[in-house]
Amino acid sequence: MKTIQINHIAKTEGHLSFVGALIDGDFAQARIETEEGARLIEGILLGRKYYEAPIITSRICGICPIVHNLTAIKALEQALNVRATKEVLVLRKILLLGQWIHSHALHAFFLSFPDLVGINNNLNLLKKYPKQSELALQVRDWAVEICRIIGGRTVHPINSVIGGFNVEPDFTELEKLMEQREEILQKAIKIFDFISARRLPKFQRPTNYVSLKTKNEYAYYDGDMFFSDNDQTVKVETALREIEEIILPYERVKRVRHDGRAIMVGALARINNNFDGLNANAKKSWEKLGIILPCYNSFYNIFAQVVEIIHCVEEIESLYSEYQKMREKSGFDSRLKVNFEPNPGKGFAAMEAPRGILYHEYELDRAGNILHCNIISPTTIFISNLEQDLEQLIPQLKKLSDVKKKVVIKTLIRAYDPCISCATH
Amino acid sequence: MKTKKMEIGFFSLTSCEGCLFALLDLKEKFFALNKKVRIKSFRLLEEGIHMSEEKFDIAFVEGSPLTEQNIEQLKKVRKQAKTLIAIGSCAHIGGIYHLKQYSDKEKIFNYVYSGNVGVENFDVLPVNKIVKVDYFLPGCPVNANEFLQFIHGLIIGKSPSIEQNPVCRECQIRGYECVLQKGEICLGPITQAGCDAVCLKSKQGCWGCRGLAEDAQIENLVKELRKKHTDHEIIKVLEVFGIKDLLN
Repeated sequence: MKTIQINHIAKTEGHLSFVGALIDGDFAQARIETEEGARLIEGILLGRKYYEAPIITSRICGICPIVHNLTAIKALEQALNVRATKEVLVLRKILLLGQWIHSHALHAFFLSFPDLVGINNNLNLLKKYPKQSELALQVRDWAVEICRIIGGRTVHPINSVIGGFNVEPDFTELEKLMEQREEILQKAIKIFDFISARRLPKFQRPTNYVSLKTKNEYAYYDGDMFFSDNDQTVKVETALREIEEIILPYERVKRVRHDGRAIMVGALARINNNFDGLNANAKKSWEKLGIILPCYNSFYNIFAQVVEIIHCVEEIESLYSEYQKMREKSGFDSRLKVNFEPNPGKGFAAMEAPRGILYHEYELDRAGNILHCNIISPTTIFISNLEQDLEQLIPQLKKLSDVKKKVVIKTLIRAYDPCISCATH
Repeated sequence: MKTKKMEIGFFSLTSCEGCLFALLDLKEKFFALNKKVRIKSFRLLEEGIHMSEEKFDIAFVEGSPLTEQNIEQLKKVRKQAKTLIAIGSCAHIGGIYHLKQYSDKEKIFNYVYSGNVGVENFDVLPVNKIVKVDYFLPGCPVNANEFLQFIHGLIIGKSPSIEQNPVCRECQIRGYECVLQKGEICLGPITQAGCDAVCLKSKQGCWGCRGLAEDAQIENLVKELRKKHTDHEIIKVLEVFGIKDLLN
């Protein structure tokens, strides 16, 4: 038996290590170990007021605070019988897509792409590929600005609350930013062409791809849960009842199974399940790869993320023109926030975070105190699938030197874009 | 004569890493820093191998020491660094995760993990309860522009300081609507400024993520808040970022 251990893997959100072993040539074991401490977010919310949840849960993760904020809000609005207006929904969707773009741009270009070209330090990446790095930074900055203008701040949104938005996002700023959208789209396409010219390791392992699905759009804000292995679309509340959260000894990250099987969520799962919903340029870009869907090579999650960046810029374009029209109508200001009184109730919500399905559920008492809270994050969901991929990958690497083996293993781990902060919460 | 560049490192304990992202969101201004100092450790940017005898002129530490490994790392960084700066609410005053301390921490743990599974359930402490801290840069997340001013000060050998006005003053200068007067809970009058009153810009009352301002007039604020809120409500807000612990 030959063990492989990689401690403190850098360039991921949160700290993790890898432990694996190759047992008799074709059979391997693999485990991802988190180095983040348990923060017990669900537990500390007990007995606290409902309006604290979107603020506190955004502190689960510094890279995707917006999707935690929005998913908490959506679940709590269900518990409180609050119906957000169309105006609020459009702004929330732009905010969420901004979150996807900046998270994907950072991950695909600065965390994963260096693996494909053998660069360890991003300061060297900036030196070797200055033009392309600049493009990736410009696309990311554009999205960070969207989040700042609508959310009130780049990290940990303030303006997005239960009922809607406290203040109207500065329209002059938003308008100026949106003038750049065509330019940003072209930059995103250039980044895709540049990154996707790299070869990814050969790998195939069919699994159960799970994502939200709706008829109207490439699902991200709403939808039922779609399971690719049995081709079924199930209501979120039913699907979540079937999902098992497993606590393993000495493991701060729980594991998730559905019908006893590992599942895959995130950009590649979404493209496999919802390709038809992608916008035109995004579709065209993926098609350049010449890959027949479903794609069973998890390394392609990197390219899938860049395709989604293109999709998101196109989607923001149409949402923004809808928003402009809404803004012209009288009474617009009053529709930015819905007023309500606390009442007892239960609520749950699923959204597509950059890394896949994120689930929040709450139960409130009459005074609006939180009686129950459960959060399942995308990394918690896909970590078993990543471990199973690694178990299949390791025997394929038998002939490589130890150093090269570790490089490929780290490339796969980072391709998943694990967020250990979210997974440990 | 060319002087040796200062060597700086960034270290995360258990956290959301939002402070590191806030710094990255400085964009080119952050990368330009590398012309003046040598960034030797920033785990989101590089995968260098760091030797334990490596030295840093300045180490920035964010997050909460919540595992054995976190505590070991914190002590090690203290030995490696001439100057240690705690950044963000978690490292400064305990931050959001510190909320655990106001309840039965065993009960909370069992709610999340159902029983003894060999996972640590340490008290959530600010880093100065474990090692000596030279400076604090508060906020949840840290204000990146304040970080820049701070580090440029250190580069030219100035002993940096944080503005000691309350948030309330920053809010008034900017002409934001007073949420306290509207009857909401706002800790702006007692909280250390330097955040540009960013929450008030979005009409969110201040919950004190930056800790107490010098000479904070706590009793005056409490008297004002009691007109419209119960003590229980006031205490709950004082708990969120850990201000409650600083009141004695």
